[in-house]
Amino acid sequence: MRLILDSIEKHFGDKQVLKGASFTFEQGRIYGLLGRNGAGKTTLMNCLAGEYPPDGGLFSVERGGAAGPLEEGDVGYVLSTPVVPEFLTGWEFVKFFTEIAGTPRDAGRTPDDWLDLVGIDGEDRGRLMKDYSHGMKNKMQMLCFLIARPPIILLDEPLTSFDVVAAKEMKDLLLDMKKDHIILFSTHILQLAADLCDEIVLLHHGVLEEVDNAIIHTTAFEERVVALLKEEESHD
Amino acid sequence: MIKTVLQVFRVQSAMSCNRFLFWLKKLPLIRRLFPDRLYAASTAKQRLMAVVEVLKLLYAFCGKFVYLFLFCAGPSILFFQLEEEGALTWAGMLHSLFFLSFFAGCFAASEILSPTLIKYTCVRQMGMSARACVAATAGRSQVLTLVTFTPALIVVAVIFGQSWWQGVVLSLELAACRCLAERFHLWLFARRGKALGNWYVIGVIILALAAAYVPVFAGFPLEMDRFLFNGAVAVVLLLGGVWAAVSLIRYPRYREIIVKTCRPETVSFSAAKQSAAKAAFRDVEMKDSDLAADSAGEKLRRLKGYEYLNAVFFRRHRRLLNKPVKYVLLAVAAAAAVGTAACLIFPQMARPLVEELPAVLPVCVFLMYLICNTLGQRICKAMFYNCDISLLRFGWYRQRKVVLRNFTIRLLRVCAVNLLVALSLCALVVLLVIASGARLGPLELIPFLLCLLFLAVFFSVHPLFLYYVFQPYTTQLSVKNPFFVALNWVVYMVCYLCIQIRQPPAYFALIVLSATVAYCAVALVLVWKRAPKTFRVK
Repeated sequence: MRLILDSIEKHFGDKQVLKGASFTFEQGRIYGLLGRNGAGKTTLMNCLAGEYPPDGGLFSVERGGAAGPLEEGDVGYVLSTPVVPEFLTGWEFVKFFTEIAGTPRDAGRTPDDWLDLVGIDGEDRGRLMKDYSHGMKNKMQMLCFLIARPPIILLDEPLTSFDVVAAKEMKDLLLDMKKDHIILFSTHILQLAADLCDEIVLLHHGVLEEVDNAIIHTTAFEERVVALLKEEESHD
Repeated sequence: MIKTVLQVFRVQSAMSCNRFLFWLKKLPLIRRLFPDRLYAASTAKQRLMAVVEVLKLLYAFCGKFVYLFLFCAGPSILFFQLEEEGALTWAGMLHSLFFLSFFAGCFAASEILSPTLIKYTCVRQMGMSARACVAATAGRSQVLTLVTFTPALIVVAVIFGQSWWQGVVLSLELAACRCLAERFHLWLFARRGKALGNWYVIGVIILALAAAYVPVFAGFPLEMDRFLFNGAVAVVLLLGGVWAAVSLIRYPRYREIIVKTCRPETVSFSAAKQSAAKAAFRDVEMKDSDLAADSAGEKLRRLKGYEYLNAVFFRRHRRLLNKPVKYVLLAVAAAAAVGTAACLIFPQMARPLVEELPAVLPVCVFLMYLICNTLGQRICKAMFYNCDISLLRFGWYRQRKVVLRNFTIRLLRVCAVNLLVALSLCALVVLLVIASGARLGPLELIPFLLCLLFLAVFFSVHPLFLYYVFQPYTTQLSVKNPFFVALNWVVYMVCYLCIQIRQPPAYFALIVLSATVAYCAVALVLVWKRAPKTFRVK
């Protein structure tokens, strides 16, 4: 499976944020999307998630050699500010979500099994999500794509609100599930990107640019990325 | 100090200029002439700032002339003929001017205590000197008022056949009075720890309007010239004004005043809008008591998927949704008690009245609109605020079949609530017919009752349909869809115009049934076709 972005454009008023962004993302890889503040990372993710349509260009998904349009159900999106229906308890939300989006291969799992997976314990399961912390709400959002297993998973600045234990659990979880998905996440933490990602994609000047794969796990990685982003500054 | 004052002027000017640009960009035909980059174009912006300042000054000058002629001289000229009773006209003008400008203009509100964005920005955000900021805002306003009022008062005095120096004296006295009033407000603020509330302002304005116009229209204006042009009064006022001005300049607690009065929600338009929007949703806000987690119960757990979601939603919102229904049912019960008693006590009067009920069927359309549509809108607001605002961020929740599924589940729930109201009204009608012994045949009574039930369904579909097809609420909780507002208005007008229809109940019921069936069909089709694109968080 491949996700193809072909000349994606998006502007807000006079400001063109995406200026023909093109890239091909492949299944089984985790992509780190880096860019400076205001570069358009969240805009790109919002367009991919169908929050609003791009002004130009095309998203398509290639499955078994046949390309088709990107459907809304193909994308699981974890927002930087988590949103969950606060009138439900964690347990109720998982029960509801497994019923509407669960896959047959997880049919035997109960809401409690799922909540165990993200470390939400017994007492918290019966609490209304309005009283959940930012991190717990984020875990509930992550749980949604664990349950639904959408082929494409977008994470907008994930893990930043997690404590170290939860962050490690989430990283392991992403690494575990990556073989069946295309995972794209935006972050400002270069160390996290280097640890987790198979590829780094820079978004600058409204276009996507791949960073040489060979340097990701070297000491030169940080300097290279910063140099590229400073280059952007001097262009401006 | 002077440097800071000039800096505040510059910030103020830039803010006015940006606001002016923002509004220019809203104008349909010329907005393309003002691109976003103009905000950053320093030379062009400085020119625009100069234009804005000149426009503001012109506005202030013209405003004083308009104010003096329209509000002070106008009523007096209307009542007394200028040529025949010139002296009385001048007295009337002075009388109105005194109560409007010397009293209300000075004492209703304080410039220094008014929360403004410029004070908030310069003092609270940029850490500038509070005294310099007050000098640049309230001080500037005082000087501007003196400068713009003086020529206007001179012209008015000359037109009314008085001497030009009387205009000058009036302007100086007014400036002195404004300084004294500001000092009075500061003294009061220091004692109370807060500014005077809106009720005080409204009270002063009402009092001033009454005092300014009632004696003039009664033909007995006070002889203000004897007071205002009295040498002793003028000297006392001017000396008092000078003392107040010096005291204001030396006042040491401006920072404390600005910190207390200028809060984000009082100075920022968007924050105020957000606060107003939140207030509009307060009636559908859940309380902790509504959210008792165990209230969902075992029974609900047997439901699945969207039935489960909506069942929990409606259960957790019982208080919000049942409260207005309870009020309606109580009102119906009270009407039933009073109506039955009236039928039993005055049967001769009650019977013909009840027999006339089918004739008022068109009025029921409007009544049902008021009850059921309001209930439906309340439910939609609660759905958005407490449920959809979060779930709509998930792609799966916006899928076509999911949207239609949720719509139908919710429609049934809203119908159930509205049908309960309609059934109570039906029971009321039947009770009145039985109690009065009215001779209403089944062909009259049954269509009447059916009509109430159809209307309940119609006004369940209507708000939910508009909500799904136009989704008018934004994340800031404001209503942002002109079609939503327009369609609501059209339906309101149609319901109102229904009062004019004169048709037998059977025909009328048929019309309502046809409209309900047609509306349901159109709603389902449009929700299927349009809602996946429109039912989103804006």
